[in-house]
Amino acid sequence: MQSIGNRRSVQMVNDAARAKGIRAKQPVATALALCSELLLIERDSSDEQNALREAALCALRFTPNVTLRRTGLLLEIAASLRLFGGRRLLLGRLHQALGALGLNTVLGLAPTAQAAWLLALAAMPQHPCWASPNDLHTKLDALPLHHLETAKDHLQTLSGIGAKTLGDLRRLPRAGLARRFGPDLLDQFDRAYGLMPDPQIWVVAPEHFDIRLELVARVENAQTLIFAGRRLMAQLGGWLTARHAAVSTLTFTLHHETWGRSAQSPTLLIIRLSQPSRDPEHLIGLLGERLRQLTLSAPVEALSLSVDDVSIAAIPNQELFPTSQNDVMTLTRLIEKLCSRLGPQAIRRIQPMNDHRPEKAWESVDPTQRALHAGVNTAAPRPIWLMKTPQALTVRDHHPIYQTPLALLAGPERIEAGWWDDGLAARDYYVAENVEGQLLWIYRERKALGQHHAWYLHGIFG
Amino acid sequence: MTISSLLPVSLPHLHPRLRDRLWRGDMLASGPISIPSGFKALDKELPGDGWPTRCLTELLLPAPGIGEMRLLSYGLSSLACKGRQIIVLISGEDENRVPYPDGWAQLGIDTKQLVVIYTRRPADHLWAIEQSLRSAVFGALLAWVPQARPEALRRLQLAAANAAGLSFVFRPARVRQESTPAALRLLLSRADVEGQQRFLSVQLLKRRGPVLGRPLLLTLPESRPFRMRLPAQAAMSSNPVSAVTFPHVVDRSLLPDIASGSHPTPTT
Repeated sequence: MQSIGNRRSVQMVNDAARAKGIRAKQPVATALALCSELLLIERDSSDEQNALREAALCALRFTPNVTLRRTGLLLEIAASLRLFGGRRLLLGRLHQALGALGLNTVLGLAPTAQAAWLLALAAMPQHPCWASPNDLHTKLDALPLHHLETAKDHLQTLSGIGAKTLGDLRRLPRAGLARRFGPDLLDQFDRAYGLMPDPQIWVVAPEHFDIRLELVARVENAQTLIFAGRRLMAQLGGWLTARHAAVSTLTFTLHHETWGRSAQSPTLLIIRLSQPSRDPEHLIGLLGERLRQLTLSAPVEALSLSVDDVSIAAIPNQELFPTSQNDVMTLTRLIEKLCSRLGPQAIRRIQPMNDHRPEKAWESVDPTQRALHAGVNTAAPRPIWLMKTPQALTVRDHHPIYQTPLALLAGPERIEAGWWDDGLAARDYYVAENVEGQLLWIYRERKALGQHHAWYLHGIFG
Repeated sequence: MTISSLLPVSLPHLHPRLRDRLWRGDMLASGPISIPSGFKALDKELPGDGWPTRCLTELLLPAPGIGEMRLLSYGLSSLACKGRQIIVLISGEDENRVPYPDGWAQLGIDTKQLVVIYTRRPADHLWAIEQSLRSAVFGALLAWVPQARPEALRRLQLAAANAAGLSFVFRPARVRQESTPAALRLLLSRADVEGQQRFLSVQLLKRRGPVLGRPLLLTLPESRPFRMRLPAQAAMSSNPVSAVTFPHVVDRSLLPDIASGSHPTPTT
């Protein structure tokens, strides 16, 4: 609905309203008379411009040449067709990417910019209008004149002389057209047909990425924020591709609604990546996991994303066969993904340490660290699994029992170490087996004479 | 001409193109690449002559430590030598356990190649296994799953189809009555044949091929120090007597012998 002066008229209708008989350009009073439950939304051109800017950032992922028009975008995709696998795939992905922003697109494809614009104006949703260089003239000839912006003031005159389509206009003498309607009409006409060059000024991606998204309604559940997060990530993907960069740290700010005088401080969600990444899907996955664990202290009314740590990165080469280098890169991504849900301490690497005592002979480290130490090389049998805390075994008739009586197979191996740091271990280790076939590494604590020996289970052989 | 002379002896012999499209009831499936297990008797019975990739292999154990890792050690060490990663997923029940680097080194696997994932809740555990399978970044994946619903295992089997590595799932032997979506199911148990000899009995409960009636008896490769065995009588006696000990760095009683050179040092 748009107000011009005192008259309010309907600008666009959705399908349900169209079924009731409401059409564009009807006065609001007529529309309300036809359907009393009509929902009227005021048209906000600044919102529309914002949406176009978002779409332009998103489209930068597919081509570096994007320009904004009043009601749409112009993209030059000749150079991107090969990379994205052909026209159909590229248009499909573009439709999907812009759909993630909540926009329905009509697409027009032509060898010249003006022609593509005119075809898009005439196209239907879900059916892109395509003109190849051979049938450009035929397709353009069939278009009605009211799509041409420079012809809007002269429509009545033109229909008076019998020119209803662009083809009719082409048959009129050019000098006469220029004299009657001004040179602009002829210029636009020539640009559409490819008779005149049409340089565009392309959009340049901003230096810093700091975008704020106002949410349509207050959000109280953190998980529903993922939809807004997707919109921001789609734009981030385009921005990163345009600047050939990859991001290492993302900062999401959740702005809470202000109640009266007290303004609640915004919640910050910082996502740090161990390896710079450019893939929006991966980043959306990480954000989703963080949001799943977050409970909101107050309803959120806006979401903003800023990136600080940006590094220039080349696109990683796609390898045909999995090699160990490719493994390392995707392993880091897997670790990031698992850590975002399980917590940072869940994924470890085990590194051998230089100590004879088994409980000190290993250390769990961050998986991205490189191994520094070498273990103690020993010829004695060592178990696959070590118990972090040794388990005391019940003893019956001087035999240790682990579900069944244990038979000792090898040993004893005496390990006596740690007098220097209060962790004295004086033990005799044996390899034992029980009736079920489990091979266990048990030890007997060496105590002073007269005390009972205590048996402990320290490891299990695999 | 009788009908019997018209029938070909064997269709695959008739036309080589039919060999891949024809399956007879006693044939084993030949699927994607498989990694040899190191045991000839087992490889003969496994479809593809080795551990299958791109699907789940279920190993049912009555109790941990009866030889499952030694069974897999050949395959895992061959993957570790090629630089592939081995992912180990430990569930909340076994939180006390940690892989011991020296033990794995004795099996031939460097713990540099090992990534250990600890999870607390069963839902997180299954999610982590599925994500690791989907990433397809491992040479081998070992997961201990104490309890799981069949639908969850079905998802894991589907996710394993992406991965060009081995996926092993260890479950308790009591679930052998339940059906499984895994392509290969082995039941391991200890078998005592001829008195003292210790075998690992491997029963192929499910495989892509005909059912194997009898269990396979495999001798596990014991690492060298097991040669130092206690004599049979001493194992059962009340005081464990050491038959062979080897000098430890702090054991000072043998120092004079070592210094004089009369004590034999063990060869590594």
